[in-house]
Amino acid sequence: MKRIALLITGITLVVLLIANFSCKKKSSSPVASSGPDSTLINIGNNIILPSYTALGNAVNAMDAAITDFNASPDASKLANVQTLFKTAYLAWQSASEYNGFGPAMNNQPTLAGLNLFPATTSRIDSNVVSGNYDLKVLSNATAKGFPAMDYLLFSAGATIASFTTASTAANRKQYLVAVSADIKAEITTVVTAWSATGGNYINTFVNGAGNSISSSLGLLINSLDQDFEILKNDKLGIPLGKQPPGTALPVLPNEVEAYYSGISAQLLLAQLKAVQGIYTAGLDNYVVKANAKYNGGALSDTIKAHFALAVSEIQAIPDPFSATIQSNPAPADVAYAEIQKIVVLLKTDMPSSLGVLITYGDNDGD
Amino acid sequence: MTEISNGISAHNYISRLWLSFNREKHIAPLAVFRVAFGVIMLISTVRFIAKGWVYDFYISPKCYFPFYGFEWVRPLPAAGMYSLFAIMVIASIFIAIGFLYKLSISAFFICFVYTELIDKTYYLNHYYVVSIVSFLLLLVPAHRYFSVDVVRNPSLKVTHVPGWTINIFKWQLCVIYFCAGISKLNYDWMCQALPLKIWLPANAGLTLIGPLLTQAWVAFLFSWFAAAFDISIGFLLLSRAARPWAYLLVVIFHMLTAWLFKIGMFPYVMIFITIIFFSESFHLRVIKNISNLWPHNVHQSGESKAVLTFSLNKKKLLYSLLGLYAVLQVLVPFRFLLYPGTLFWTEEGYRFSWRVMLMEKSGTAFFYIKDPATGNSGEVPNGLYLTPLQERMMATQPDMIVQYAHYLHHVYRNKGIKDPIVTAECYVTLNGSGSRLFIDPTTDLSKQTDNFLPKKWILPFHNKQQ
Repeated sequence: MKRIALLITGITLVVLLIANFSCKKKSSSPVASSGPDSTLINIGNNIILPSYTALGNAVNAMDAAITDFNASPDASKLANVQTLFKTAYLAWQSASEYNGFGPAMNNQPTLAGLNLFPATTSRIDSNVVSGNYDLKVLSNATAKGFPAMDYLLFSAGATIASFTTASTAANRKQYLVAVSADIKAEITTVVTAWSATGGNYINTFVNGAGNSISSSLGLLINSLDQDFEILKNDKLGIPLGKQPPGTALPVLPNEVEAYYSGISAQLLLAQLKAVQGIYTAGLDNYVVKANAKYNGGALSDTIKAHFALAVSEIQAIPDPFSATIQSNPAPADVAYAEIQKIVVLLKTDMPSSLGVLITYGDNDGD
Repeated sequence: MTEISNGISAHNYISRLWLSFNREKHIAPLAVFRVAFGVIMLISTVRFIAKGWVYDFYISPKCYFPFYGFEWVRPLPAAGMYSLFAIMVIASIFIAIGFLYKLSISAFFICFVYTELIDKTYYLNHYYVVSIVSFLLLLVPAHRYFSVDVVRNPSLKVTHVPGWTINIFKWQLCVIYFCAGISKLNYDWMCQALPLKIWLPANAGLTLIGPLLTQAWVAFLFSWFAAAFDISIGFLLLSRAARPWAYLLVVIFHMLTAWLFKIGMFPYVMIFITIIFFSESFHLRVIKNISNLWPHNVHQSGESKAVLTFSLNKKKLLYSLLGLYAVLQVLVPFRFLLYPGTLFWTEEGYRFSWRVMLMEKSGTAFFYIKDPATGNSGEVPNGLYLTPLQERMMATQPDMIVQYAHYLHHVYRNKGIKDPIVTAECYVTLNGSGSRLFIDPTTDLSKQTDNFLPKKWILPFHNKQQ
């Protein structure tokens, strides 16, 4: 009899559940229960799309200037190309956060391949000399993209003469054109795939509700964290000599991003602000709604405070980073410690409070 | 059957248990169970391969986390791993149709357990269920009825088997559910509705019930219902009167979890294997219905009774093996009582205990290598050595942290650092506690060994916010 009683209790519970669901269905709820999520709409339309549009425009402008420069190179056109390159590289920092999912990830090769630094300069040089190369092959992975442009436009040998009177001038111009065209093609593909009038991934994004690894929130947070670890490890950690001593020197100034143009710290700041911008554009809403705590306070306030601190600390790093890293590494060290704290918050506290798995991939749980 | 109506003494229970283990029972439930297990394993293995997990889990990683005592287990080269999964696919089909059964179930068991032992990163309770069930299927004559083996060799056919060959599975399932239920009886689950209070609102986008999932009372309802379900369902399934309703509850409960959480095959495995509880007449009907699908059905109605008996020596061996196994099954989930500290925090004695979906735990670990000679130190880029999934699982599980530290010790020794010091700064959040230091960041982990003793370098979990 006891068993029957238990059973009846159980069934009653289920019935109650079902009854409640059907009752609530009729009343209007303040939370959108289906269709696009308002936070995702905001992040998608007001952050992601404008970032990609800006990047696309910057890359187009740079490519047009390079075409013009290639036809009749002179010093002022070179200066113009250099300026437009910096603009495009800065714009990249606000779009790299989405490299881990959607069109950027599905692109062949993945869009992240446009910023593998440091560039293999010997490879670029030999490509220039031979005039015979395929930028899509793996051996040219670090001889293309923004780091290659940085080298071609700003290295000590990148004088106007190297594009006009040097014996390899024609090949060098051609390589510049090829690298720029490759960047433009990849980015255009991805921007088109996101746009409502193109592949309309924006629609997929705003409708990808939930917190699973394949939901928009899951994809975005995983991609964001992956990108943020590039900032911590590759842009700050490796150059600062934070990685374990092997045979290499402890400080590796030529491993910084944008070594030749010397805008490394500007780029760091741009990326950090972009991540901060994504957080405050709606991820914070989720964290607040989840009522997540940190050390007795609200988790969201903690994250915001750490972002603000990191921004001011990165601002204190003087460019060119590759030089100041040796003469005055203290500000970068301080910033690194702060960035580490944000990694913990973004990778552990935030996703855990939202029930999002950080795996940068797929798997079962139980 | 003799019924004793006046009071139930312990002696009666034991003698009834003994009777039920020895009494002849029709083999039909066992045969259908075999088919169901084969089918669900086929689906599960094919899904695993199709998702590319063979490569992701067993081929691409540089570093593996084998289980204690099985450190010698290493993955095979790519072709070998794929062959292993191909064998499991074929074996599942053969198990389902009962073809070369002893060989098939042995091959499946060996391949499956071997794969599981390679890396604890992928440990899931349902893989443990599968390992156990395939081991038990190795001991029972599940192929001697309704199988290709019987068609090929009719002398194999039996209609009745000793009760234990069927009851052992029921007992195992009861242990699983009951332990899962007991493990839910903790403060966070019952009084805080954690972690469901964190997980459910994440499904707020679902149609119909989405908005409800953000309500605290719903998290409490689900928590309490799940605990009540787990504790009682084994008994309900054993009761003849309650069984159909109990099975309906099993289906509802597991489908609900499948819908709300990302737990892969687990719900389906449980739904499939709990059919063992149904009566022999039910299973005979199932067999008849399946047989009728073929125009020339192999199953003859009106069969003559053939009883399978075991020799005394075999009985002795089997009974002592099963006895030992039964005792272990009850003791292992409670070994955590031997450890100090918060179980969910230290995870000492956590695995192999049917703790399913019990906590929201997440962590980030920074490992540091220090050259004792120069004093130079640096942070390890974990991404160079671990897959993101391995990194995530490692960051919250102390035994994996030690294993990784030993791996790093080896890697950096090879890079020319003599006896590198390996430390970790590790932050973990448990059920929304907010991240806090998990282990002592000054401990040289390369000097620690992973064993069953309490790990003193795990910092205590203070439930109060600092």
